[in-house]
Amino acid sequence: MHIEANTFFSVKLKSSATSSLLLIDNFVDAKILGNSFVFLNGNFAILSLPQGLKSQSLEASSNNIAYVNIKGFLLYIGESVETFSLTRNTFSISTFNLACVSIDVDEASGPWTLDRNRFEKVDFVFDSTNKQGESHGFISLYSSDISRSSEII
Amino acid sequence: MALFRSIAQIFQEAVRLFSNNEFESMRFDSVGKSIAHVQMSLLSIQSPHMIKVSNIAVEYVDMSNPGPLIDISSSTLLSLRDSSFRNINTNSSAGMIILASALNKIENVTFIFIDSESGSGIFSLTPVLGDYNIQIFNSLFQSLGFKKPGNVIATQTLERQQEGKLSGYSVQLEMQSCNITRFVSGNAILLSGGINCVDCKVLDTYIDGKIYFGSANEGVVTLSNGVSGVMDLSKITIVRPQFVRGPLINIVDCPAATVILSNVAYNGEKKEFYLGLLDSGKLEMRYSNFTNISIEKNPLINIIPIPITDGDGERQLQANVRMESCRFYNLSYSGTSL
Repeated sequence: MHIEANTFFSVKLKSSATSSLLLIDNFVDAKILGNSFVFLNGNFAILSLPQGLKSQSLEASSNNIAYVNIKGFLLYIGESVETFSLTRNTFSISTFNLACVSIDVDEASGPWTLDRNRFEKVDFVFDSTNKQGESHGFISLYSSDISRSSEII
Repeated sequence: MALFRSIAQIFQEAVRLFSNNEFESMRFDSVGKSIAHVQMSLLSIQSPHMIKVSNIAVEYVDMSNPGPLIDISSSTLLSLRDSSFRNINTNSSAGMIILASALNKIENVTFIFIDSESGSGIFSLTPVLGDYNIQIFNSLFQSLGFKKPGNVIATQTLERQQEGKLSGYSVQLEMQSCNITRFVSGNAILLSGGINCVDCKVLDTYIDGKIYFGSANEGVVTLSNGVSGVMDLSKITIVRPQFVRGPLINIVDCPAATVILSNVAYNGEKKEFYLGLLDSGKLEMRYSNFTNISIEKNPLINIIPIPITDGDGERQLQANVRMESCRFYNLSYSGTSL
């Protein structure tokens, strides 16, 4: 599945039931490439993936995110992901109030890569009414188990 | 060797790469009902992986909430290299970077203009998986301002139950060719809480100017609360420190600890200066030069015997100092004895 070279400009989602601009129910390989997300406002993430997914690869590259005030860019709570890549994205003049990127899976076989991203004038203003808890990462990666057969880089 | 037993196994595990990213002008804050205990981090990785962080630049980050900037405490291996952290205002009482267990390799990393409200400092060791091996090479720590005493490297209480007995984790620490300058309040290295130093050494490190040690438990190195083993400090150059009360070496309640100072060059002037302040343990000084020291009332080395009570009754815990081939130049002293 490719979401590539699209422009989302001045989007405001008002429905509280809407959690995501892009909600992907099922995928094996997902690529979010070269999109522009500008002037987004609301209590949603740009991309979220529903719980229970087993995905092989997830890639978000060369996207431009500017002037957004939203929950997050990429939120994924799933069963597993093999490769994850967040590269060459630009985040500027924006506010995220849950996490910018949050990957939470039971199993991961890696590698995961975050490379050549730029964050400039970005605020992380956590809204504790969204989620109670103790610790929150602007970039948060969690997995409880990993494969020992992964390739080494 | 048990410390390294699992290293080969670690390299078989998955890798997280975090490289060439830039973070500039970021602000961390929280709103809502329960903001008091919300800990916020720039990077939080909670998984038993090998984490490689390189070539990242983090600048002008203002963190109002009390989270560490980077929390990699559950990882088995961290490699942090060729990165810089500048103008960061952190409010974390847990330390700016919580290190992983097992092996941590930190190389060519710069910390400049770090302010902390809550102290604790730069690197904090919190055991999750077991013993530590920490290597910090060619790194710069400049203009570190801790409003409460902070530390470049500090351990929290590292005790665990082992076969029914309380014992400390082993820490292997190597700090080499680092530069620590303009440091306000705290310790360069603070080890406490029953840990066992295994081959701990600080080599070729330059500590320069306007270092302000504000209390008796602050110094270049402080060992406290049952640390055992040997801390070896070699070829350290210390220039123009401003001691207020803290000593160069501080050993408190560590009868099984030894600090070795060898080939240390110290050039400073302060009226209240302690070369060592210890109530226990052993301080050995070899082949070191101490220049331009002016002391008005304190002894150069202050040993404070403390009475302890154990099964044999009350006795005194006595520290031991040995000096060998040390040189003192331009020493001005008006007390009763060195």
